[in-house]
Amino acid sequence: MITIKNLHAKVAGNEILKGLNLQVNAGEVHAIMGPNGSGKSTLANVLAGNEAYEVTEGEVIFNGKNLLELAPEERACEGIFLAFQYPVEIPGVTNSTFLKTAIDSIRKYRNEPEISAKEFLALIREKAALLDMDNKLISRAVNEGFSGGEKKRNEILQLLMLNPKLAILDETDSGLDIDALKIVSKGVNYFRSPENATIVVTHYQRLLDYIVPDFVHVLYKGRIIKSGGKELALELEEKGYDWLKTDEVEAV
Amino acid sequence: MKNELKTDFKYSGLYADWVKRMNSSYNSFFATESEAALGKLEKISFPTTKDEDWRFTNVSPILKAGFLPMTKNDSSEKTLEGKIKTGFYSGLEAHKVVFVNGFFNEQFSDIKKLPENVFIGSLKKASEEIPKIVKKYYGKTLVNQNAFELLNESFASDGLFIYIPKNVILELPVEVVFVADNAGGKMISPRNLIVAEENSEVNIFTDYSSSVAETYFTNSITEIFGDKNAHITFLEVQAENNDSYRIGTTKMQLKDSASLNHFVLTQSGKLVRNNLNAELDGENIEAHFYGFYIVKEKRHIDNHTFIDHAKPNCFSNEIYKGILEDEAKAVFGGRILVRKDSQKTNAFQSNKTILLSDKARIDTKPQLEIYADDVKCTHGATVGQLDKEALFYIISRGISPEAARSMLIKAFANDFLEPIKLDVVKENINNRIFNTIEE
Ligand SMILES: Nc1ncnc2c1ncn2[C@@H]1O[C@H](COP(=O)(O)OP(=O)(O)OP(=O)(O)O)[C@@H](O)[C@H]1O
Ligand SMILES: [Mg+2]
Repeated sequence: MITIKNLHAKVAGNEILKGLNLQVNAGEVHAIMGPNGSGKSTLANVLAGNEAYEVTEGEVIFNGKNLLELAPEERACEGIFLAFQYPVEIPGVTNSTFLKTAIDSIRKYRNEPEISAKEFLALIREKAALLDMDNKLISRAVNEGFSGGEKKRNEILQLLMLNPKLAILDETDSGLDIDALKIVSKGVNYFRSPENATIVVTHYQRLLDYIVPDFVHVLYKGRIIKSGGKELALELEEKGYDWLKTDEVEAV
Repeated sequence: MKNELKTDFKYSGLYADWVKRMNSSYNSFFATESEAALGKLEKISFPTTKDEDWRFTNVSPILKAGFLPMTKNDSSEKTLEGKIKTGFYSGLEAHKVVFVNGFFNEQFSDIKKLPENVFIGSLKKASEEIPKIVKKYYGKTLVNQNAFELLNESFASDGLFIYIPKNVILELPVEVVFVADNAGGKMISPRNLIVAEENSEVNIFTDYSSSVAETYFTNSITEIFGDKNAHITFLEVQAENNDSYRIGTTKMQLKDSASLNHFVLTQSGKLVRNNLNAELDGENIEAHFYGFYIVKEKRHIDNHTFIDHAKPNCFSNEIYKGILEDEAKAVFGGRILVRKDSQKTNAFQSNKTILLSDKARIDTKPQLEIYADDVKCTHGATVGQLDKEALFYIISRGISPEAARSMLIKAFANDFLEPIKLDVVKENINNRIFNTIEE
């Protein structure tokens, strides 16, 4: 699905990613953990094509295409989806207009006809119900005045509506109560299929009880310094990151 | 030569000749009003950038051009039909009123059957047919007139008059198209008067445009009276050509429990200055003022508003927004006065401007004068580019950058569009805003 090789990226002049390697195959779920400021959101933004982040070295191949050469909207049309750590409020644009425009743009890119209003409505109702989302949220402006939990749920609604090939969830679990966490996880698990893949960025092992990862990686100072199975998350929960930091220093 | 007039151009010297050429299109009502105004005009000077209220707007190009007062015979009405038709909202059933160069045009107007005693049409005609009513209101909002107001009064000879008597709810809206035609070098002086008596209701949509590109000057006055429990919607579209100048004065007076929704959209014009005054002279008034401006190239728009909370328990809500491109300049002056006894006043003001270019500029100046202690007044002004984070968020969902931009601009304009209750009008205004931005 995606192969990231020796990725270096800068934000505001500072190098944040310093030679990151990652391979994610179809059907897999990868969890990325790591201390604050280690570069997790930077990685997510670089993959989504945020221009504030400058790639200085390395390559990213996504389904055979050079991802870094594609504009952000093309990446979305090719099947990249980022659930933002901090979803943006867009006053004056309703959720449904926003999503219909997005779906139609993606369909146009793929030379498919626009979604009919009827089909769209049925689809959004179905997905909202799955996420226990009030229909009122659909007709409201995108994320405007949404609670933290509602915003995260709205990201998952978009994920289900756009049905991408690679979903990158940046701390979608932060700020969720336990019920919301279960619902969001249900949405992600519903999305999962042998044809797509998911990268879950999280600080908490508890999310991984619901979205069970195939691999867990530790990102530290812009590099993946440890990878393992889901048991690595448990180990991190118990021991924190310090033991790894020592490892890394020794390795250098 | 006429065009070589200097700054100390004296309008009063033009009056006698103008009256002669106006001939039967001028009546004694306006002549009487004019006499007083001309006298006052002699004694005061036009504002300069040294006047605080005109600091950012230099009107000297208007004065230097020496525009001559428009006479009725100057227009070539026959070529206008197409222009007038496109000025109306398609699919809206309404009383349609047309003014060419400020003069009522019977031929293109289409005023449906009206309830008893309602008047819609020419102020000149009304001043002859129902002079008592006209005199009761004409000029009553004008105190301490500035030179432009006196100039209008000196050369006004016609304009829109709408009179809705007590307890009448006018079902159909009134659509008014003001078109400038064959107006090069001229000054058009529309004089409009809107009266909504107690418990009445009226919706008015006005549109100012030009038939061709030529340099002229519109100097208008619109007075609006809303008596007790009157409900008024008034929308003004300013779409005159980009060589034209405009000084637009709107003065309103509202009484107990009246409600007003006032909209002004400025989509073109070389130099536009809008002076809007509203006196909330009663209790429990609800007044909304919405403004939207789109300015490009080196053009200039100035909105100066003054909301006077003269009595307690009123609510005013003012939202002015604009989009500036190229080297455009905009000015917003928002004065709110809450008088000493106007307790429980609730006044809200906001001015937001998006700059789509580094060279565009807005000067915004809120001015709150509050002399009562139990009031709620808030104001805010923001200036900025389109939100980059929001743009990326939208684009990251597969939407093109152009579509994302227009989505954000649409969202920005929503405060202006959303309160327009008639869908046909809302849709039309929406399209106008977008077409203007994309031009
Ligand atoms: N737009 C930006 N401008 C300046 N610095 C930035 C920007 N974005 C990120 N950074 C910096 O880059 C570093 C990595 O940030 P990033 O958001 O990728 O961390 P993270 O691993 O996601 O952290 P967290 O767990 O707190 O979300 C931080 O030091 C951060 O301050
Ligand atoms: Mg982060």
